[in-house]
Amino acid sequence: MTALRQKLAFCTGDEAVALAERDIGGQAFELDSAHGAAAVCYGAALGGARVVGTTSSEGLLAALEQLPVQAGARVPMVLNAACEHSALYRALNTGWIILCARDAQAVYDLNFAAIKIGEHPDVRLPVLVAYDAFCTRHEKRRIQVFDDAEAIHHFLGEAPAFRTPLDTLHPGTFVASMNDLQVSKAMEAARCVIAAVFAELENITGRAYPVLEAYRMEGAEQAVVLLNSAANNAKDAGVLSPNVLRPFPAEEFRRALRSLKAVTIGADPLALEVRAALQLDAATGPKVFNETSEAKPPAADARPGLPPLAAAEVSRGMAKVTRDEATGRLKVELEPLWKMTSVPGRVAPGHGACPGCGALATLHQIYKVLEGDVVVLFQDGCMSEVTTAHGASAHRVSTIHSAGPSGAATLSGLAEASRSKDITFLLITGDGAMDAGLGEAIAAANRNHRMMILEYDNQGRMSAGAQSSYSTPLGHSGKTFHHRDTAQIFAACHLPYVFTATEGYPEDLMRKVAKAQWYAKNEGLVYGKILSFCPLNWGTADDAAQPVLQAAIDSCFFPLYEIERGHTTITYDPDATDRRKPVSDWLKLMGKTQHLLEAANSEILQAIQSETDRRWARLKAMHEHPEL
Amino acid sequence: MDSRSLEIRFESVGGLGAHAAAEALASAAVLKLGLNGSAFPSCVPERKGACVRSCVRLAPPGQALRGSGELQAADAIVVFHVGLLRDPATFAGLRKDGTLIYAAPAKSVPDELAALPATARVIRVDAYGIAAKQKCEASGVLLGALCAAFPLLRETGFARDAKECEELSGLGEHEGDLPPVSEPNGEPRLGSSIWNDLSVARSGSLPSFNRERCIHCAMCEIVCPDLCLVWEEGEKGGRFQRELTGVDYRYCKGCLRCVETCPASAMLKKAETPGLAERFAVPLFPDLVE
Ligand code: SF4
Ligand code: SF4
Ligand code: SF4
Repeated sequence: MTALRQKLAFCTGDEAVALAERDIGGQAFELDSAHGAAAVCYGAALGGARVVGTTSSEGLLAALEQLPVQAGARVPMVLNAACEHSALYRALNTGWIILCARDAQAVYDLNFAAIKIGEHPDVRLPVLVAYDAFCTRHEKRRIQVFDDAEAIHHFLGEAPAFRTPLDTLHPGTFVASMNDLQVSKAMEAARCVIAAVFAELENITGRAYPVLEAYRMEGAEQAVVLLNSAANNAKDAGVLSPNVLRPFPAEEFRRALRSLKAVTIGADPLALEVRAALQLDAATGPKVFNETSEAKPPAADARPGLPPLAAAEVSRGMAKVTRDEATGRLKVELEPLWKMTSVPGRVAPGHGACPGCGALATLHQIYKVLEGDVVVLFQDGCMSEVTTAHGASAHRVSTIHSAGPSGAATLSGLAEASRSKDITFLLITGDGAMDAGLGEAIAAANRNHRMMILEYDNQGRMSAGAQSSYSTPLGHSGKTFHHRDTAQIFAACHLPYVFTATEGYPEDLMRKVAKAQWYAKNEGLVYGKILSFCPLNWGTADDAAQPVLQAAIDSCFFPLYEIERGHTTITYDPDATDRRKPVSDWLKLMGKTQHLLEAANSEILQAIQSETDRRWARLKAMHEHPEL
Repeated sequence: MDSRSLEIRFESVGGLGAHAAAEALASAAVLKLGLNGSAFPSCVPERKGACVRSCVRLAPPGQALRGSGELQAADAIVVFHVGLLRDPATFAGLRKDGTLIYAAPAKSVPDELAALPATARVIRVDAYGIAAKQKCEASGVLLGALCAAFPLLRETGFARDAKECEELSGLGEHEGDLPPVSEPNGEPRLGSSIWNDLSVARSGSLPSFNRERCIHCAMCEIVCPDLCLVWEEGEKGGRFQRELTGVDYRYCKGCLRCVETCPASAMLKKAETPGLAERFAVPLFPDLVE
């Protein structure tokens, strides 16, 4: 191979990342929070995009919960972390490959290497490029950048076509298997791949990145081990500094340290690993086997599932959406329920939800009217658990599990990576996960991605033993403040469409879902909050959905309405039909709220009633005034 | 039990009280009898109708307890619902000299019991029949049967009259200990949940379908969380284009939301007697799932 054409630049570490991003031709993302960054990148990488992201110490620490999932899902992507070493040490054993860059030049070069290493079929792991949060990040240096698009392309090759949820002809259940075994095998395989990629890089750039870099080590009796830019500063001793921190270059350290008398190591975590590496050199004591590298992976289920569903099979025109040109609003015509029985289910029977579970009924109703290809991200909660329990999947379309409550961010990344206009991106979440991930969901709403967020609201974190969430009303499971009005929170993001619905009114729900899909495809993010029955934790009979849900809406505790391009319309008005009831008529139907009817709790009951009345009056005013 | 520990697994369905029974047993053994012991629930929280496993380890006072978490092998397995015996995972790991206790009315002998070790002890107790008659908890009856079957557990205070139990013989055909089972790993196949059998989630009733009364309006379909209603094209020239033909009881959890919703009384609540569901089930996947 011949050297590629290069040109000069003068830049900081951060700017070097930006240049690398540009030259790699990856997709750029506007990011919100530090926590969201890794999640958005993950979504885009799941979509097959070449992703180069950036984060900081705080971002890396905040994303820590996601890192093992992303590695476990074997999704290659590159995250640049301008971070303190103390933050980096927390990410050591998350299954990510870690490259260390000591200056802006290394930052630039290693991003190219990282893409190629992570994408290698034997590796398929995410790669962290770590550089100092201060020095490398802010110091401008003279560097060489590539000036040869063709040579870059030749070096990187085409992005490999790994399985992606966007390939709706071959759907899958994208659940991260946090199986250390497969990740550690990939990590071992990475050793050879890294050596080969670094050699090739040296070939075209003339710049070498030995796995363990040695400075003035010839004939040295003492050395220091330092990371990143610190290694550039040591003067009067031999210096060893790893360019690759994961997989840990144990063999290289052993060889380099063999003839030394003393070595000083910068930080405890690093010292521990170098000591461990040397221990193996002592040739005393027991031989240590790494169980995961010898074991065979467990077998996959041999029983067939159901064939994937083609979009045409499930798109039966059950809800016809038309736009009224005069008002700009949408109109929906629903086919009768019996006709909908011809729509094959995107979710199969055999899931593990409780008898009577309303979240499943909700999902079933949503799926009846959605048209075309859908890719669904299930945020952690009852629905994600019961549809993938015991190694089986109840899904027939592509589904993804998020890493923590960062589903909105991940789905937005995936939606942006998609080039197809035909796929609908749907986030299904309980109110519990929505509560935990609200910041990121609002950030996604502010960016107005074309996606749907549908929340089955059963007023608690039911998968965590009915802990309270933002939807849990005052006085339920000991809650001391009112439930948040999330529909109004999202309305304040000025989304094209926000609605509330309940599975107790299937036609109303399906009409709104059909509208929501139209807006998600044509205008931007939509949010729907759907009251769903949970007999187990509401303390009711399994078949009590209808009366309980009816009482919730008749009492105006859960009003049904929609906000279409800023215009609020109440879609069910119990005042107009003389069905208005006090909230106590609803609360008395559930075991979990019996105590609120006791005289001792009359103040709480009164508070729920007043808050309900206040919100309802406000909503009515919004319904009446087009400007509100 | 003198020299080794006693390992007991409770196999049940959420809502039947297995976790509570396991905990009561272990705590009585520890606090009352002075044994060493532990109780481990397989899943917290317990979803109603979902498979639930509770493991109890007991050891003589001076002997340290070995092992924790789920029991791969067991000396005794107590099965709270006869339907669970359809899944070999229920009795996996039963030792050759082990004891299987299952709740079922007299004469109920599922074919699957042939897979048990030939040398194992098999005990049947009509826990639900007795519980209904005596107005007590079936989980207490099962716990009583277990304690009656092991001399060491008699003093726990739970043991009931051994005459309630029937010891069955000549059922098992397996030689030696049963192997433990493991869950499949790797990416789950799409729609593979159809192999699950959820009938054990029903608690005594099922919806019985009367086709004559049905107006095929699909109100039941739109609220059924378990997607177990079977629809077909209507007869040519008939009144209906789509017709409901029945319920696949393999997946029906008996919530009765369909009964509550039906405007034509075509779905009615019926007490589930043995064999009823099998007799009336209409399969959703006749070519795939046996
Ligand atoms: S706990 Fe509630 S939401 Fe969760 S599966 Fe059971 S009924 Fe459904
Ligand atoms: S609701 Fe009743 S009448 Fe309507 S389809 Fe179901 S069983 Fe038939
Ligand atoms: S009882 Fe009715 S609604 Fe409930 S799972 Fe069975 S068929 Fe479905």
